[in-house]
Amino acid sequence: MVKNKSDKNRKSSHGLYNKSGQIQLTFSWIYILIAGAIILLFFVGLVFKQQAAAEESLAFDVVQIMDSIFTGAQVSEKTKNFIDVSGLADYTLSFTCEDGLSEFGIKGQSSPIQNVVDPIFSPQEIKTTLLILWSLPYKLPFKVIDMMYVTSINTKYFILGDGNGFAEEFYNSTQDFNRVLISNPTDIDPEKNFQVRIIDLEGVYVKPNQLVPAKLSLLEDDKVTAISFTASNMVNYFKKEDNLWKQTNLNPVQIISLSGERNAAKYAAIFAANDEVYQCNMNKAFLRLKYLIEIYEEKAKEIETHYNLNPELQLNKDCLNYIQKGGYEQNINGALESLKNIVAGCLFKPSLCGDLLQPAEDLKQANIDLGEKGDCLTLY
Amino acid sequence: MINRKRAQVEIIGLVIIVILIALGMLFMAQFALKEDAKKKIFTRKGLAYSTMSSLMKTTISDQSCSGTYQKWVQPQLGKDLLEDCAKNYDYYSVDDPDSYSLYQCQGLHSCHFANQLIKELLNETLGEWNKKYVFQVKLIRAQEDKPLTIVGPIKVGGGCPRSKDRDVSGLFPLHTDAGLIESNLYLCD
Amino acid sequence: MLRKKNGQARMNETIAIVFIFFVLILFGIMFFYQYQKIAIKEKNEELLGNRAMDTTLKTLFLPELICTKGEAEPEDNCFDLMKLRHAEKTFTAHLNDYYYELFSFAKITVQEIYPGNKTYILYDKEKPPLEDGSSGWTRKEPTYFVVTLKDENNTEEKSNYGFGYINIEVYS
Repeated sequence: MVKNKSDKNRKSSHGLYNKSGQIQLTFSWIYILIAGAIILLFFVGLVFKQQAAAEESLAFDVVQIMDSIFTGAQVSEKTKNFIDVSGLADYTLSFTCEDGLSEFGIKGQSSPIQNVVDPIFSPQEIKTTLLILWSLPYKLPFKVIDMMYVTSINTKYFILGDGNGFAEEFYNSTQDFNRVLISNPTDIDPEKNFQVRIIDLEGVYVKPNQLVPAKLSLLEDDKVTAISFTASNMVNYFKKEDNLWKQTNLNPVQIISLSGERNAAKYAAIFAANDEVYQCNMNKAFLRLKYLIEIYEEKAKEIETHYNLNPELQLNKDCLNYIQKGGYEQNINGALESLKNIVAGCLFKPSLCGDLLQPAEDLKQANIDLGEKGDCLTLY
Repeated sequence: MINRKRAQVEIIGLVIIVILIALGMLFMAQFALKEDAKKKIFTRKGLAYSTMSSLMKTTISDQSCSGTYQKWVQPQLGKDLLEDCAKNYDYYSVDDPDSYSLYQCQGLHSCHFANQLIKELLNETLGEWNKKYVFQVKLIRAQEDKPLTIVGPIKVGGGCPRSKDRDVSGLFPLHTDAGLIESNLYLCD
Repeated sequence: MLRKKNGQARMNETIAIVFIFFVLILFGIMFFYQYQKIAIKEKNEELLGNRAMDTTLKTLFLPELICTKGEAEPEDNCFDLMKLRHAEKTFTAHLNDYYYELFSFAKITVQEIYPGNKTYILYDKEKPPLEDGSSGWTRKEPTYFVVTLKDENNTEEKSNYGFGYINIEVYS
């Protein structure tokens, strides 16, 4: 019952206040939601952007550090370096080489390191907690460059056959590597390794279109590769394809190296992912050889001039015949000239590189004779 | 009531400022606590070793050097001169620099000449690059328990006490008839 | 009327709070920008140092310079003067197509201290100047290493070892 006008007014205005309060509350909440959502989206966007930037930055840092480690490992030849990369266990390192340009970096990231100078022989992908770096000097016949081998503790090498004693030499040289000597392909068991490489030293165990060992069928195709030696310096590369071996090279790959222990080019062939990677990196070595020959030619000229200007030094020696082209059959100048001419052709057509071996052998013998028989200054 | 609330608000404000300053200092601290650059460490270690190795191999090309029968010789600083210094150290004194030794360069005892030359070479290299170093050669004789300093110590920039961050070249030992010669180069910044 | 003003006041209060919030964000961004600037500068210094270290290592073990002993191991920290005298010509001739990939922007000098005082500038590739004519590089990081200089070209045919140093300056 309405008591007076003011009561009536109070009641009607009270209703209005209720509605106003409801509107205000609703409006506040909507306003808060929208503003809050915008601010949250802004920060979430910032976080995602930062995450992507941080990943790129990490990849860049990792690759830069690895580049420095590789440089150090390469110059400390014959030393094995075991690098703990457990922080990168979830990342895959990728190594490629094409047209003389090597690239290595973290797979899927955009900051790889490029290198046209240093030969690096490795599988195409490595995903591991322990990286193994090793380098050996490549001599032809003087030291040309240090070849670097990159592998990992979870890349298993199965050595089949004897290879005229090479199996034992390789096994002894690669202490602390993940390798095993086996006599039968049925003994091959990948266990929990990331990838496997079969080294067929006799050239009989791995052949095109042959079945791969049973236990390897569980691994992905690109994780199972093989190298087969058809002769001590000729190899074929294979990869698994639908449980069969498929040869990846058209023509047998020749290993260009002088005989001897710790044959850098032969080890390089074993560690290289395939024939393309091998040839691509060997080309880097031949390119370096081309420039080194120029320097050694000048040194040879200086030694020749030294003996021409000081004939008394040659009284009981025969130095110039070991140096000059018209002298002995194996002489320094002749061998250097042959090397120079052949390496120029080898850089254009890799099949010509095999011809480097003879002049390299001649140069090596001439240098030995210069020192031992001639008791003269040697070229290297 | 209002004053209490005002005080509370002020306290909250102060806390926020303290938190912001603390965060700011944390960021700055990572620069202050940064360790020595790898390059600096690598260079110092490598430099100490390479300097020592080069010094030991250096061939004396001084025309005034004479050896057996007064013939002109080209002894090596490490192998020949220091060995001669060790063998003839008993004849040497600072006041009598031209006392007897097998190798005589510029008419000086081999210990004196070695000291002089090494000082010069180190000054033209490490000295020029403002490095602090200490070089010395010690002789350990079989019949004595205390090593004898036969060359040096050549100290520059106050030397390299143990309390400083220093790198050593390695001992470069040389076995001679007079005893064991140990040559050392300490490098610090 | 008072209530309307109350609502407006509350609205203004909210706007002010949000405004101050964004001002604080702005301060945070500026602070972060300054921090990043310093961090990037430090990173560049570190990268330059790493490059200097790598270039030094590569130079000290260059087959074009190192002292060889036939089939035996080469000598450490040693340069063959007979090769060094001609290395400059080869490096210069193939600077852009090969040696630049090895050394990048750098200057490599070998200075003989004893017995002679000859200087060999093996490699010199400075960063090209900018379009406005100013220098292309802002910093030079020198690294010094003492080396032995072996010379077999003497009448005794004996290896004479000189004393010298190598100076590797990388440009940033």
